[in-house]
Amino acid sequence: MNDILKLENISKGFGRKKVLRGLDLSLDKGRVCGLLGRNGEGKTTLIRILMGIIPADAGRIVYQGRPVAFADAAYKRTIGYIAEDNIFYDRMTVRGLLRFNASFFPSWSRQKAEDYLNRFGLPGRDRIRTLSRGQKLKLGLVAALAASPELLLLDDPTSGLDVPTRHDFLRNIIHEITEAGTTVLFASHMVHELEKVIDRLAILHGGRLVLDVDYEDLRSKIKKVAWTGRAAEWDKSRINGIVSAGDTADGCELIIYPWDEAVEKALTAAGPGPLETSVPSLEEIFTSFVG
Amino acid sequence: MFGKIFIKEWRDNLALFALGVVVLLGVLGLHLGHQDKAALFTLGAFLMFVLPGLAFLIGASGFQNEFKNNSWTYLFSRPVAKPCIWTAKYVSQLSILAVLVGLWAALRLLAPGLGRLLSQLDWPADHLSIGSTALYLLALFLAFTAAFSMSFLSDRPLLVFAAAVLVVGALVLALYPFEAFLWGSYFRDPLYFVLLLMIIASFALASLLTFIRADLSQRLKAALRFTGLLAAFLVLSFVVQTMIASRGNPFDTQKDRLTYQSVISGSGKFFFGSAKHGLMEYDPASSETRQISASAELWDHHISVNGGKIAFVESLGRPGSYREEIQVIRLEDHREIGRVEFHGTDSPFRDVRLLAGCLLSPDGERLCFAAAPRTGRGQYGTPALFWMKSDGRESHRLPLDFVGTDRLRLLGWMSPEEKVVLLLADKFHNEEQSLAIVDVATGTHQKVDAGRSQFVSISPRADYVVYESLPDGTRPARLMLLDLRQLSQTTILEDRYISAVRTAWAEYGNRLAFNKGQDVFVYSLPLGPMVQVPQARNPQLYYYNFFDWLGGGKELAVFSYGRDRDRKDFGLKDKSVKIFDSELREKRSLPFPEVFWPSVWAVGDDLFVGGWEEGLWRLDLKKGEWKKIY
Repeated sequence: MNDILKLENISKGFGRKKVLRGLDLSLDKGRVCGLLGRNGEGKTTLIRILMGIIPADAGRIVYQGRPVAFADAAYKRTIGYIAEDNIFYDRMTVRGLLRFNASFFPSWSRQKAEDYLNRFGLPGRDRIRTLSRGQKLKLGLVAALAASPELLLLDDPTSGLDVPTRHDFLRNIIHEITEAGTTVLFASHMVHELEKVIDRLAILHGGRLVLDVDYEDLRSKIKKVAWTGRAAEWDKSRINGIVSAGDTADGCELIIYPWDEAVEKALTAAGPGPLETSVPSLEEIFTSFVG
Repeated sequence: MFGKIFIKEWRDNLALFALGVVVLLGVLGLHLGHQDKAALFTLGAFLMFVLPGLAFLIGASGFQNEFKNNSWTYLFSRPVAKPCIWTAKYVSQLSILAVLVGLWAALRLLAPGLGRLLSQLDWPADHLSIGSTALYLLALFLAFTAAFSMSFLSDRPLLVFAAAVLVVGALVLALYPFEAFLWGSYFRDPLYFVLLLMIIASFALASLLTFIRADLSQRLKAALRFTGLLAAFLVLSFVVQTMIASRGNPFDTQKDRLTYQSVISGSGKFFFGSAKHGLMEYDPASSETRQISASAELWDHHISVNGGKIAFVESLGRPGSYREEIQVIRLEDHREIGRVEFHGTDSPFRDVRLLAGCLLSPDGERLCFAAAPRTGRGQYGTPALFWMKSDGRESHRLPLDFVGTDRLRLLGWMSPEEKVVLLLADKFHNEEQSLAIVDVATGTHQKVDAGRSQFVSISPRADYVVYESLPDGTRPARLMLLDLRQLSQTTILEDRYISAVRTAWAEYGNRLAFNKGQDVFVYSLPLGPMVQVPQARNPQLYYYNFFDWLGGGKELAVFSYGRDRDRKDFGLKDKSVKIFDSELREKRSLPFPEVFWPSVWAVGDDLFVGGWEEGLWRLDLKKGEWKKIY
């Protein structure tokens, strides 16, 4: 395993509300990790902790093998960050902001910045306050990508992007940068988008990761099974691996992970079935783990 | 990165800078338009309110750009250390203020008459021992830093502005009781320059430490943290100032210093009062100093040396439960001869309160003091004069039912007449006073009215008293000489203003030296003449003189120094120590000792100088050098 980033026992609360409770997460180099969670589950909080914007209450961050403190700043030179709210200094022009930004990153490429500007169709001379939300998002992308980051943190980056740009980002840009070795942490609640790009899936729920697996491995081992009986019966069945159970017209639908012979035998022994077996979508997986 | 942020901040705050320039130009325009009192008023208002207000405003807008743009996320996610962000913003905003102040300084030089107008303004800095310009700049620095330090805690700049003004205002008010505390405990003023810098540093450090660790999504928590840190640093600043004032241990408020006018001689030794150790004896033969009294709490002006004995009043015990005692000891070997206790259950004086004492007769055989009997809780009756043998036996009492006051001072014991001279209502300012000469043998008395008098002093043989009679609207101030035997009064001199704070009696030769304002005069008793001691004078300075007679009256030692009349500089200038012969011809010049505001005592042929906290120095007349003996 070649971990570029490791989070150990990260906790964070705001007043009495605990948002993150002892979270552990590792990111493999050059891979895309999708971080799913409902609104308010702590995705943005986690990324802001990673970027040193807010401090964790407890836990440790290890980046490229070295522990990182809240006060550290140097480690951010190789991290690109696209925030949920891309807000910059209104009075600056697009190019002005990029010039200002360039001074922070040793690996900044002016050519790359220009290429991305053209690619996204951003007017370099316009003041930021005149840009639309989508354009600001694009600007955020340029500011992050032109520095050729080793780690790219994306906090719901695509909502607000127009369709062509979104497609370009998801299909091409992500592929390009991961081919170049960049690791991506992609936090979103747009499940269908993540499906297309992720190598690893982490689901955040109740302040903890309820799932953190290789996505292909997950897809090979998770099953959606139609079975007889009612969902409530299966909930009480104590069969390991049943992640969720839902009633259908003909019986019930079970999401089972990991699916193996032992589970199949246990199910068969409990009642007649299966009626149908398939691989659940990411949305179904997500729903089954967070309820 | 620092430079980038610095430049960005200047660009973002150009409007604020422009506002400052407009205000400056507006003031300049008003000045050029009017050169009268209105201009002076406007100038004063500008300096007192507008410029400090700008300092607060510039500071309060420190992080307003981030609040306005909500660009905290962008700023904090950059690979720039938070201290660098804070410092770059602080320095850039401060530089805006500095440029405005610099422009003001340039205007002052260029605008005709502006500098002269400024010099007419009355600054409070004189009292604070700090230059007015330095104080003003520090004040602006403080205003800016206080506001900037809070500017990231709120998105409302006016709220930050108001909070900063309130906090700084409270600190300024706190300086008054602090100054009183330092003066009362250590007789020192704060080092304002250092204190102000420390207060500024407190704001800056509290802000920086909060900013580095703060989760700005929880601003209330950050504000509380900032408040706690600020309070801690401010307390530390005041503690450090106290330590500086106390010169070491701030809890040791008992700083040693000489008590007033307590150097006296007897049997070849010298005695003085120490605030920390009480009565001290210096033996010139062995150059040793030793403590005589058991307690450090001596009653000033209540030490008497005569006939080879010394009597003094000391307070024993603890504050709140002191018990006074008069001790009489033999000078030769410090053997106790007598003790008068005022609180012991067996003491015949347990029911009296000591008012004034003690005084030894010229032969040292008798002791007297004045006390009042207790008539109830906190109530006292008519004062009485007590006298006895110096071993405490055979005491006698004479009611002083004619005095009409319990504020008494025993001035002297006339011999061979056996009369005690009392000063009644001993206050050093503007009160009616009188003298009473009490014959202890017959119990009779005579009163002499001294009117509204001050600076009362008795001759060594208790044959004369000199005092300054204050002007009363019909008569000017007069320096009066009272012959205690003839009971006749002579006016030594009369003038609108005398202020004869110091007097020195020659033990032999019947002469009196005194100061009148900044000059020293010598008067030959009893009828004159009066001669001024010749001293060179710089008209820019006001002179202070301290003097005493050497050799019992053969020579007069005069310590003199001047200070600026306009009080812009509190340093001592034109310092001199001169010895004048009996004809008041300058005989010798000596170096000035390292003492501020010296008290001078000549004891025989020895010259002593004491400073408030600089100890006691003795002059080696042969070498012309000062040696510190305590």
